[in-house]
Amino acid sequence: MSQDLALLEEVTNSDYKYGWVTDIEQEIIPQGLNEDVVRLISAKKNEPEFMLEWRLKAFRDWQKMKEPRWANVHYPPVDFQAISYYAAPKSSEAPKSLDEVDPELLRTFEKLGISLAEQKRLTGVAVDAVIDSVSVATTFKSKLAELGVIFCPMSEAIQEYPDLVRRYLGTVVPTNDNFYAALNSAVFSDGSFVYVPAGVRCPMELSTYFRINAANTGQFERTLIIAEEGSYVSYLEGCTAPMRDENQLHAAVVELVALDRAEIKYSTVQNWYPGDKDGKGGIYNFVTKRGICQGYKSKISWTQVETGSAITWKYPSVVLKGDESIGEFYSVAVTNNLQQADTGTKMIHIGKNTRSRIVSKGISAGKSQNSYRGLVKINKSAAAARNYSQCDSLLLGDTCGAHTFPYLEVSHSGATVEHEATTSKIGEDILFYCNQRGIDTEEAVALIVNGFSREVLNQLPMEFAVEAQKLLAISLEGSVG
Amino acid sequence: MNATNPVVNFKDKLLSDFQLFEQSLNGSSTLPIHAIRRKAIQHFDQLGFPTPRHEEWKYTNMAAVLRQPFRTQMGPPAIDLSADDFRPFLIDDLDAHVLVFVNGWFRSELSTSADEEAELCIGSFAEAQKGFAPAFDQHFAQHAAYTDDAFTALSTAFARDGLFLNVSAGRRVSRPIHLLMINDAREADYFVQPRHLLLLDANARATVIESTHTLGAGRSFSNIVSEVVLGEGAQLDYYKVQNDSPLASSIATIQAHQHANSLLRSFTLSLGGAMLRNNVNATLAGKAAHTDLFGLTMLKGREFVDNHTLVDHAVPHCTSNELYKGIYDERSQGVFNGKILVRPDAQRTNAFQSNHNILLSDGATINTKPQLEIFADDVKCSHGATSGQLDENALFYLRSRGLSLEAARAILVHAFAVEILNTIEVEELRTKLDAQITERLSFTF
Repeated sequence: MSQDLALLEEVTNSDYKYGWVTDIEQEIIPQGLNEDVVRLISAKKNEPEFMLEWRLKAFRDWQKMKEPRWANVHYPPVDFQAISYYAAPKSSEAPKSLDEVDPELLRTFEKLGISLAEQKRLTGVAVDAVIDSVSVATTFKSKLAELGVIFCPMSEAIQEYPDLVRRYLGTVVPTNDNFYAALNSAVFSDGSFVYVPAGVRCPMELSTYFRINAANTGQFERTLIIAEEGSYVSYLEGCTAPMRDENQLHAAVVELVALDRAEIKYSTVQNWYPGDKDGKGGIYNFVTKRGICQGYKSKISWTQVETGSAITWKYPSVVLKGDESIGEFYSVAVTNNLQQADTGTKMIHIGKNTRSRIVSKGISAGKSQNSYRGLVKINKSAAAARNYSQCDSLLLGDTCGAHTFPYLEVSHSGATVEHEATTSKIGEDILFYCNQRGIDTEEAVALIVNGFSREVLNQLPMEFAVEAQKLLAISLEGSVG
Repeated sequence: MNATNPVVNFKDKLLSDFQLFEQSLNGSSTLPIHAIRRKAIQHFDQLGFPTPRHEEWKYTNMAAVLRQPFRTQMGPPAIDLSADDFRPFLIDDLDAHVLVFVNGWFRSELSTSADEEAELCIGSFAEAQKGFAPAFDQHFAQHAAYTDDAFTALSTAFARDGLFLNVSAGRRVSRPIHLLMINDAREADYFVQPRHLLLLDANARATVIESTHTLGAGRSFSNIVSEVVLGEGAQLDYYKVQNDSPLASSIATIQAHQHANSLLRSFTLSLGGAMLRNNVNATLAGKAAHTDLFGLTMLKGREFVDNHTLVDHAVPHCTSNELYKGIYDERSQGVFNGKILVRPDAQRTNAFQSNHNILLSDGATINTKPQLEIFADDVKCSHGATSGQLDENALFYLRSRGLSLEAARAILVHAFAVEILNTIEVEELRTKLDAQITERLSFTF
């Protein structure tokens, strides 16, 4: 292959560079969902009785629920019987250390830019790697254990710390919360579990990397983070999936619990396969994320960069229950081609002097539709609550759409709620200014988009911020001119 | 569903009313308008009354009103009324054409003289329906969608009387037209459905003030739909004044269709009522059309107002501006849902919207949902919504200069309202409303 061709190929493939499949032995259970499947998953995980009961209850609730249709997204109905609810890389025993992990898997993550070998000590990021439904490796476990921080796969937590799991699982997002949360509760197979004991400031970023590999499966992970009194933890998640012509379902649930003076910072860089230019394939990303500021002066902050998925439908929320607690939501959502995103947040103010801040930046290009949908609810008990929301939309091209659906519900006269939203395009004068200085139009757009999103990107941990910036530029490639 | 559910009973009653109405029509049931009515009642039957499960009615539960045993009327009621009965409702010193409607039916003997009516181009709605006015057939029920709104469907099905205004090209109606919508609740509670059609031809201009009033201590419930068509360069100022009894409920819909260069200025002034739902929808269908939507709400007790607006930018180069303010005291509740829709080709649209609210009491609630739906890129659209309380610093400033807390609060609330009052161009109306607001604040300036 000549060099030109190689270059050309690189450029054309840059649409989605994580689209390959790892060829490893998989264990997949047959498609379809019934009580036996739920029992099978529970049995495979060797779960205690209470978990099985919990799953079955969720499954029975799910059967009674209807698929929600209110979001501003359109897609053919999902056939829940055509999905396999459990897929795992085959290995006889759980690996005790990284040396025992299938080298093919390690290569997978290296290819994704995530080295699981602890050589990356300098970066100071502990990683939990999840392929399809199962966690394959968690790094830095022992170092964290010295401080009493628990960072392990959910399935392990159920075995090792059943009391903690039992006490908190499903308390923030109840099993019957919504259609997808019920489904997740019934069939989830793994995810991350984090417990930070009182007064501990977690010394490194905790990170989970999610990868869908198998075909015709759904990914249902469940994450639970508990920050005890006065503790701090920063957690990141990243996600990719192979390019396939079928749509795949991803329905995760994330629960955060922050006790007195605790702080949880949760960042997401979501880059599931978005489908091709004609809207074929891609991930349906229907996720329930919610945190509760249980204690006095606790704080939960969500940061998300959403560039992937054919359809994104998620509203990371904060229930501000403790007095003087703080909720934050920073989001950049980019849609291109035929992607659809309906995302935003909910801030439920219950405690006194609670504060929340919402900064949402939507960027739409191609034929995509990008919606912000948010709720700020000030309960009667939330004296002197404060909210500020800002949602800006940037439109690139005349075939895309940007929509804003903010709901403000105020039931306390002492509350101050402010919301503002703007929608505009990149002005021709700005592009002209850049062109004049030798920056071509595509680069100029990337520059402006970066500036537009900076307020949010600044919230990301540094390693991720760099990646997110690149991701923004790639997602919008070819959307100009 | 349970047959004893009063809301269902009310629906059934209206459906059987329609059958009686049809039977009473004899020959005129073959007219084109009747085919529309029949379609509308079918839609109403299918839609049923909206419940909070319906997104557009999320915060507004009409069941409390709909379960009341309201009476309906098949023809003009024989209600004895004299000018003294409605004198307090007139606007002092205002030189206006006054048109009186009682329970939705036009009362010519109480209104401006017939000569003036001719001058105004006010046609008889009843005559127009029989097919004497081609413009009526051309526009009636063509703008207000009866296919997806149950109350508009109901209004269309029972459209019998109301204002039919047709201002010819280039005419300016110099004096404001004051519509006195009087509901008689002295002896019985009535559900009334006046229906207006306002057609302003090219470059015509008019000002309409519509105020609703309930007589007596009973309940009233009105469902008013106004269809407005503005020709090229036409201008309409439409004031809705709702300062009614705390037992008066109403659904008021304005559906405007604007041609190029036309201007609609809508004012919704809600100072009293049990359950008020206002829909103001404007479609900008011609280049350089402009819409101004203003609203002021000031409630107390257990009063409730829901303001829904929709500005539909269907073509390029149009502008719109919207400002709604609300002051909620005691246990009153407010809903604001403002939607700006910019259609795929409507480039170079400028659309602005603001909604500001003050809660004066802990029992008061405001639910607001400003909404942008934008399908074109070369646009400037923004919205802002706030909810808060009186500024502590401003209160302190006034008190440090010797004003009592009540006086300081009154001054600040008044100042908040004045921004909307100042947009009212009919001076006499502004003075009257200002006086009413000042009186409510129990403070003299």
